[in-house]
Amino acid sequence: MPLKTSLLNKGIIRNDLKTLYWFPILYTVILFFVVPLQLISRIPHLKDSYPHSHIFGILNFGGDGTQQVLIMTVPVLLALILFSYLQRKNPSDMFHSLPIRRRTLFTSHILVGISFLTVPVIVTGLFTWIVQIVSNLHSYLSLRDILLWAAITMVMNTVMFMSAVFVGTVTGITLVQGVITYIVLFLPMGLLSLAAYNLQMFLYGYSFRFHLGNKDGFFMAISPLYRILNLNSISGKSLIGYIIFSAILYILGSYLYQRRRLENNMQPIVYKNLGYFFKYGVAFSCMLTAGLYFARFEKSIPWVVFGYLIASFLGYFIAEGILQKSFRIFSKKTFISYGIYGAVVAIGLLGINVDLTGYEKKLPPIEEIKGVYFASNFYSYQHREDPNFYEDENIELIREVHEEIIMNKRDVKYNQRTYGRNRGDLYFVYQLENGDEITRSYEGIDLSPYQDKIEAVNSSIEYKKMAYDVLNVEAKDVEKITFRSYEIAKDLVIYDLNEIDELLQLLKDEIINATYEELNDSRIWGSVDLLLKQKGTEDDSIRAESKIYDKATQEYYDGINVTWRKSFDSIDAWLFEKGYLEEARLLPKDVAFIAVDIANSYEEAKKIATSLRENKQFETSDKAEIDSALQNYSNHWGYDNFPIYVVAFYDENDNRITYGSFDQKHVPEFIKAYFEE
Amino acid sequence: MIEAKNLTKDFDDIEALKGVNVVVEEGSIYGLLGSNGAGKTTLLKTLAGIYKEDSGEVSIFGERVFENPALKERVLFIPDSLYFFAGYTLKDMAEFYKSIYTTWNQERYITLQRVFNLDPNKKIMKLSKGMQRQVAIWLALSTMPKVLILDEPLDGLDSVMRQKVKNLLIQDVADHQLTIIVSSHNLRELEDFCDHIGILHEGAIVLEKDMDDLKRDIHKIQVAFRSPLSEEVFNSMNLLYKEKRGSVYLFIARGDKNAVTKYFAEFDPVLLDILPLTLEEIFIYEMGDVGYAIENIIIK
Repeated sequence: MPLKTSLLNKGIIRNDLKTLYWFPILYTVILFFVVPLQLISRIPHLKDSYPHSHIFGILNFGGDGTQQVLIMTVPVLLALILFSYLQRKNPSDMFHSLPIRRRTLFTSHILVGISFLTVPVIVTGLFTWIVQIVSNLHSYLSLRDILLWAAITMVMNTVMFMSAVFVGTVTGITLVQGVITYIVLFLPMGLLSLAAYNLQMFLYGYSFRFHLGNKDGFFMAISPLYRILNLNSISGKSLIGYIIFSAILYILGSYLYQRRRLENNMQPIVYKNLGYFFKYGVAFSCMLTAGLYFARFEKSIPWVVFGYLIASFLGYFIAEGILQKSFRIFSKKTFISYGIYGAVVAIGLLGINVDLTGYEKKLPPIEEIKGVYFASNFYSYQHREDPNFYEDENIELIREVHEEIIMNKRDVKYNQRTYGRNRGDLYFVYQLENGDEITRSYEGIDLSPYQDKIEAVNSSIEYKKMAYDVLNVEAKDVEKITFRSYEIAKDLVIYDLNEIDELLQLLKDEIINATYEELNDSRIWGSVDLLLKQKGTEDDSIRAESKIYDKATQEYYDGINVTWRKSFDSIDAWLFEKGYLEEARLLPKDVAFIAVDIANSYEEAKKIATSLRENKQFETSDKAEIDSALQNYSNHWGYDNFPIYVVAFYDENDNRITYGSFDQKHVPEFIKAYFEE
Repeated sequence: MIEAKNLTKDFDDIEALKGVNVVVEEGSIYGLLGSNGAGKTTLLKTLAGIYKEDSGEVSIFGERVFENPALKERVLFIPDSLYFFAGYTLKDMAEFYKSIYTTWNQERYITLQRVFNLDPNKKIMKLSKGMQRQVAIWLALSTMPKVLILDEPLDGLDSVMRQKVKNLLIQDVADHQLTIIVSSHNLRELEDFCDHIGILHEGAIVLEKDMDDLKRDIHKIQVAFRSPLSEEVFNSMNLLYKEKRGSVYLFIARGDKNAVTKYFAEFDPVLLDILPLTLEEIFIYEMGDVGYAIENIIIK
């Protein structure tokens, strides 16, 4: 009887097979419907164009998410069924009075469980393979695709199953086992995000963005449930990682099972110390969630602290009630242990508040800074190849801005955000000489005190070279240049190499010499698109986003968009000289007259724009005045100040060519004079 | 030999067993008597190796029971509330036991079918509670156990079946040197069955007795004399209880029956009766103060 002393017991395995044989059969049938049958049903569509889109999702977990739901539920359900004896009294007594070691019971049930989850997948994989061979689908899906699908499904099934089994060794009620399984699989990610969001409220300069934003890979690693929700493919390395994870769960579970006090079955959690963990965990999670809620809707620290107090109290006592399965939980003991929790949290918050670690005041010495990212957005930090400033002058300016922000801490602390024109965000990422990185972010702060320095940095050539790709392009790489005007439908395209060369140089000069204000002006003719010769590689996902679709060749090219500003006089002059100007943009000679009216709200502006001609507020057909209006209007009215000067341009047939508005700074004198009368 | 030494067991905040000492000789039937909540089930489940001892030791034939499959194969536990797999027939269940216990004796299983007279193809869940208990005993006996631990085994059986089961167990004790530990909250149920009785009260054994000794050595004496006797006469005897109703004395005394009779005869009594004691009375007198505390609970 070699099995007798081993980790497996034939009798137990045979009995599980006898009582649960229906489970793998049902699972196989479901998988059959979800995979091979789906494939068969889509075969007729494969003659269409884009055949891959019809196959898509069956073997790579796309589509309607049925497979994800199966992975998340089937293994947990099986674990609950297989180990339900451990969560009840009578079956537990029966099983544990048998002449079988606990570890043997545990291992035997697990073996059955994993086979029940694995065999159906293998069978389904075989079916799929047969479908692939019979229907000759080799060009759409390979054996490797099928194997990978099977491997991912089996491994993730095992992870879910082992997690539920592991949880089962510490719980004493099946329902609790199920609920805690899902909580545990989601908790690391949820708790970390909540903690980071909450920390952001209390720690000046801290932002979850740097630490947790866009860290999908990290979240997937710590929370398998998140991975399954976003399942498409998993690398071989990760699969091995999950197998090791499952093995660790087995070893830990086996240990806990060994030490389990069976007399505590029917208690939600059979280990008393884990009960504390549960209570404090629930209290902490509730606290952080409430903090987030109050921060969002009340936006003040007293409210957040109030939320902390109420939610942690509720969470703690609800957890206590669940553990004791009773409403009579208000004893001195529970209040004391809640008090301990409260005290620890209070000390922690106080520590953050007085900046014990020096986080808020930390500013690297200038000689240690190698480079620094500095911007009012987070996006370019992630999407630029090298987003850092390296020139001493800029580093100095940036550090000064940062220093001032730290000194102004008292005014802006605790999520007290400013609103209006000067509101903005600033992000700092210092790359230090020793390889360290310091990240700080200040969101929703008043930028006006630092505006001069920000402008100085953003007027520097170093900045412009980062922000304007056109400065880094050579004429020989440019296929063509397209002028797209807002006002006229037809584009002007320049193919001539010499012309491209001249134009590119003019564009570069304009940008290099432009002031900060000019580069942020709202008066725009349209855009100048540079189409690059070299086709981008397919796998470069970041660049693919910026690809330009060329109507002529029906292909996507790498391209650069340059905003065509009205301040670019040299471009206008060049176009005029070459005789292209009237093809490129609207000219006064194309406009018969203009009409102007003022509005005091966006809604009114919108209404006025359509009926300017009828109302006849102000009209002129003077070409000089039309030119001035053309040069100064913007094709939107998103200003903070009212009234809005709405303007429309008409041709000789009374048709409206375009409309827009004047920023108050740029309203032509003759219009201003008319309306001020 | 089954032995529990200084066995303690806590249920969270409650001390279920507080240093229990029990010794059960091989081939004997040990009755564990106690009220509900006295700790009987906890003690039995620890003896059966289901619960782990908090402190102290539990051993059978000199070996620790917990996580000892070889030993547990010979130790069968039948709990007070039984569990069978859903939808299983008696035959299915027998097959399960057969696959678990290498000691399973198919002949015995078939022989016992005649005794219990149950249809092996019937679903167990559909049987009455009493019948289910018979199934459990039947299956247990078919594994040829050396030790049987029974928690309230006679509950739910009719009197005919009760006697049948008792006889069967006694027969097994005689034939196979089977050792039985049986719990009950009812003394009368154990009276004609056990050779030893232990009383478990609030997590501790308060009394342990050999039934034969008990009945032999304790007597109820009714005696009356012409003239009152001095106290010294009584004090020289081993009296458990003394009461005077008019001129009639009532004694509960320990000792040899003839010696007691002879002793009183010397004082020329008007009346001298040696009366039999019921087991209940014996226990109550033996236990003194504790006896009065649990009298109402265990002796109905």
